[in-house]
Amino acid sequence: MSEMQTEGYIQRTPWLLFSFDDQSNFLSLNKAVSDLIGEPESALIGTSMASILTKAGQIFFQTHFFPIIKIDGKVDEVFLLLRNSGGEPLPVLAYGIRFEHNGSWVNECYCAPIPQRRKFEQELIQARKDAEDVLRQNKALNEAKQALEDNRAELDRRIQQLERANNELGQIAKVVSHDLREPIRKIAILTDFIRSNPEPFAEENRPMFDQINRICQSISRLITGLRDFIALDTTAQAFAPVQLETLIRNAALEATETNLFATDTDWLLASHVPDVLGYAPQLHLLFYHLFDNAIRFRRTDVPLRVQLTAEVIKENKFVAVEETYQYTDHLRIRVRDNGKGFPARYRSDVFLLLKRLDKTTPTLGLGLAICRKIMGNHYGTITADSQPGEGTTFTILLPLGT
Amino acid sequence: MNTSILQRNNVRILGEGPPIVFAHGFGCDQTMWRFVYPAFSKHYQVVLFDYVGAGGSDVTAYNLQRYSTLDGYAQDILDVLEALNLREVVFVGHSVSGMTGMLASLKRPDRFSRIIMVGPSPCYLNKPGYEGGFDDSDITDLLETMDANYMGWANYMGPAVMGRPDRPELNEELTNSFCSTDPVIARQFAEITFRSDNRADLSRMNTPSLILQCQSDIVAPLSVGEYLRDNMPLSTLRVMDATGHCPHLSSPDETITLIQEYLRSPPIN
Repeated sequence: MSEMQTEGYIQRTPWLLFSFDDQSNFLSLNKAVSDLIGEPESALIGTSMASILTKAGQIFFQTHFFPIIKIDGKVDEVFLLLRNSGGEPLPVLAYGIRFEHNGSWVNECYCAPIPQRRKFEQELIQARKDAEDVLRQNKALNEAKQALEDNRAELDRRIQQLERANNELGQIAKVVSHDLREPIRKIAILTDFIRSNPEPFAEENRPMFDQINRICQSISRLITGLRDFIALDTTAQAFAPVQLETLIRNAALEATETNLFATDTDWLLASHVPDVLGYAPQLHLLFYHLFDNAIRFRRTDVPLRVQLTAEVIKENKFVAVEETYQYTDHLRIRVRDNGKGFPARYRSDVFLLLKRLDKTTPTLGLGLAICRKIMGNHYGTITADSQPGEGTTFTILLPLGT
Repeated sequence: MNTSILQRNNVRILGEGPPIVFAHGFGCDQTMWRFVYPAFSKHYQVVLFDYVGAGGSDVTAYNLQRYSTLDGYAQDILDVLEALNLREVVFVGHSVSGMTGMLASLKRPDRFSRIIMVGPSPCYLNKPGYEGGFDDSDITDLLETMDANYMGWANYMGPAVMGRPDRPELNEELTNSFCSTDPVIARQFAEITFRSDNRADLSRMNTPSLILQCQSDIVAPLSVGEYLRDNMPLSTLRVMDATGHCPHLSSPDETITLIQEYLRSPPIN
């Protein structure tokens, strides 16, 4: 075939033939292309080929066609939407190859218009979609799906509750078998000792009676604390709106007033904390204990600084059920202090019932266990991050809108 | 190191140094970075990955619920960073990954030092008082275009939306091109990408960011780049000579130079 004949083919063919550079500007084009846009070839060379694509066509060209031709060197059988000067779409099947010519890269594209085939295709796709829609829109199915979804969310909460309850039972069992048994054993030893003396009420036995008395008081405190902890179960009540910002300030005030070493505390409490649904008295107790904890474990050589920040983030609302996702708004509050801190390996131990890392501080070890239980009652979580000497950060995550 | 996450997201690690993570956008996979990342592997630890559902990722890990919002994709980024125990990374995200990276950094600011967004947009649709570039009908056209391109696989699609039976024969078919992916996944990714609106999150951004804006980018026009600069704290806008939506493919040298210049500049606070 002579070159003239070839040129004739190129100009007469209904196929759109054109080439473009990596910046998507026309390098050459045939008559079919200039007819489509209604501009002569000379006016189009060097201009952006975006002019022959619909907006959707441009997105697909930029995100699929161009990456494939650039990396694979060719593209086969890609559907594209071109458009004419009047904005009417023209569906085409496009092929492309890429080669180097005189030191620069050329992308050559061949587009066969397929308006008729496209109609059949659309009918086929529509038929498939209709079939899918019938399935999807099946009302009974949808309702069942919704019920299942609700059940799953409920199940997730129940599992969380059960896991927590189970965990607490284990802890309470430990308290009964160890923390309560130990002082009782001490009393038994002391009474044995007292009885072994022929004169049980002799003056020399007096310190032992005092000790028995102190042990009894401590057992009583322990039982009261335990009762308060167990009483924090409120599954029967409904959540009510809580003005968290005011509540936090009041809790800080209370923590300052009930502690001797808190007057110089530098409180940096976030403003604009959103309102939440929950149990106000419990949330008050939660923040009171967090602040109280910061004050009790403060460093004595620097002024205490307690910072509270709050932000709304998206988290998966499913906690216990695996492979289930729904990202919903959660309130994340961080309470950071510059106190003594503790080794990172105790991050989860600190929330255990009657766990005291620092035996020299006069506490029962109930505060953080209460905090964790309260967060559980609100379907949220509490975690701690700490380093000795660098202070502690407590992070609570509270699902919003439940 | 959590190897199951690394396999799930087809994570590749090259070079040593401070970490730089490259995230691909809508369409294709980590291959998109092949002209850019070699320039960084001398001085950085380069981390490449595919989102679940794209490229060489484990498609069976795809979960319609999880990936029905960009948060699920942001979690992929956080999962990878956690599996590698990386903090203060430089994150480079193309297209929708600019916003995905931002969402990830809002949740875990400690994991990111700087975020480089290549052709980002917080909202592709036109809204009252905001020019995103597209109308809803354009997005419908795009989804149709994608459907048409998966025409050959129509037999396999069937009622796939009702659940995902394992279809190994389909996977084989799809590995022919790095841009190919499961049509159901690609369609959902397109839909959540182009119908997303993250404008309300911008003001909370506190990781310094660079916006690389191409000239005449149909997907993310200049006005969108300027909107980002004006509404996202600590951001820097650089308008490139490159045109189109994929400067990392069309003008890799300019892309590399601008990223390097930004990383050399002192951080804004």
